[in-house]
Amino acid sequence: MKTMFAAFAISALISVGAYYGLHAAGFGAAEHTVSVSVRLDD
Amino acid sequence: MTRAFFAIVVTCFLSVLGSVSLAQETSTTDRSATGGAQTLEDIMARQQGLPIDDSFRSDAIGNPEQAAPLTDQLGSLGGLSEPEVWRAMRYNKADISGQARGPAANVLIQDSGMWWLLFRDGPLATYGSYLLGGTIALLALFFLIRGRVRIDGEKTGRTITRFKAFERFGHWLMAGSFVVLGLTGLITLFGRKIMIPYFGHDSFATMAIASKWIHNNISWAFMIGLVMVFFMWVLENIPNRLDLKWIAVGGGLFKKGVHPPAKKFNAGQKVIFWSVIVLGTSISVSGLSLLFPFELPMFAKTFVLLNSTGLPEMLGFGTLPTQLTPHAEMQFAQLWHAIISFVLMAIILAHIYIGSIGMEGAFDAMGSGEVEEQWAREHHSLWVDEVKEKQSASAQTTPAE
Repeated sequence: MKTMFAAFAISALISVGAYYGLHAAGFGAAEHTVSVSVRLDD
Repeated sequence: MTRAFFAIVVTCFLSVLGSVSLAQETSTTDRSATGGAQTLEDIMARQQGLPIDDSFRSDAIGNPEQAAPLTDQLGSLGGLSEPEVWRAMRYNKADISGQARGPAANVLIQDSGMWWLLFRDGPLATYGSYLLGGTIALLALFFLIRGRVRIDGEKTGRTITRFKAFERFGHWLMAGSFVVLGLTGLITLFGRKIMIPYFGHDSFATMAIASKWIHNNISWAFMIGLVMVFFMWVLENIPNRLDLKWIAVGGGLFKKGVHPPAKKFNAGQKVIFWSVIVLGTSISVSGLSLLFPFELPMFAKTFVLLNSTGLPEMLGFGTLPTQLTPHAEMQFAQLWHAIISFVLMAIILAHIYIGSIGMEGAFDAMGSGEVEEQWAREHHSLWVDEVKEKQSASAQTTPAE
């Protein structure tokens, strides 16, 4: 059962990692769908 | 199984074809009485929900070169009338430039969105819920009739290692994330209908946002688990003759005391394995297409391949559309993702049943990894023999201390 709960915990970690990782790598929808003249960070 | 799967593929892909072929049939409509505009037949057909050939409208987008100059009587700015401009936008024929980037940015109006919405809220939701509800009902009926599949022989009190920790980890990584993906997917599809009446709009909005976040991000755990499971167990899941014997007696599930021989995985488990691998991969690929909108279009290419097989023609659906707008690609991806997910969820419901309350001793295989030897002998007799042989061989080669 320990392995099962460990796998669930790792799933949660992977989810959080994927969210921040993909955003840090510039995969956010906003970065992909606006032109340079739209200032997202203002 | 293969037939049912193929039927779903064809139904999904070809429902659009129906409209294409019907549109072709109506292309000969006589419009001389209306000067080329829509006729009473067109209106009646549309009211009945039938597709019409609307080229009289989609092609009427004006021609500035032939239009009267702005300085002349009846001259218009740009040489186009407003209806012509809007028609051009509607049919994706206008020359659009904007601040937004991406392949979908210049498509302002896309008619097939309505077809997608109606299909999603209609047949997809209806038949999807029938499938899941029907599966649960069948399993409940099976449980009432057959009861729990017990260990027939006397328990030995000895255990045998069925799955190592690494194997169980891969299984639970995929299984846990799949259950979460299934639940959050169902919230996305049915939430508006089922949850809003109970929780209200505001709280459902929060739930829907959380559900989407979880669904999008836990998908990576599922895909990693899927790859792990494939490489861990693929060799032991290659079908062989024993599977036919197992299938012939229904795996012994329907009759007490029947235990067909099986190696590490029996035919039923192989069906589950290959369903998970094939359908899980399809769900993952269509899911990636949805995760990265407009970046991974795949349906136009798939339709080209299907057309090349001649199957759509053979089945009387004509040729599949091979030029799709970016939005249509996403709509097909979403429908495909949901249809295959429903099928896999139904299969996994059966797997969860037999791996938990349906069979005594089965959960231990993935719980602790240690199963009762008698259970193993009844369900995987050949595998037990292999394990025992290995154990005795290693005992002979290990010197006594």
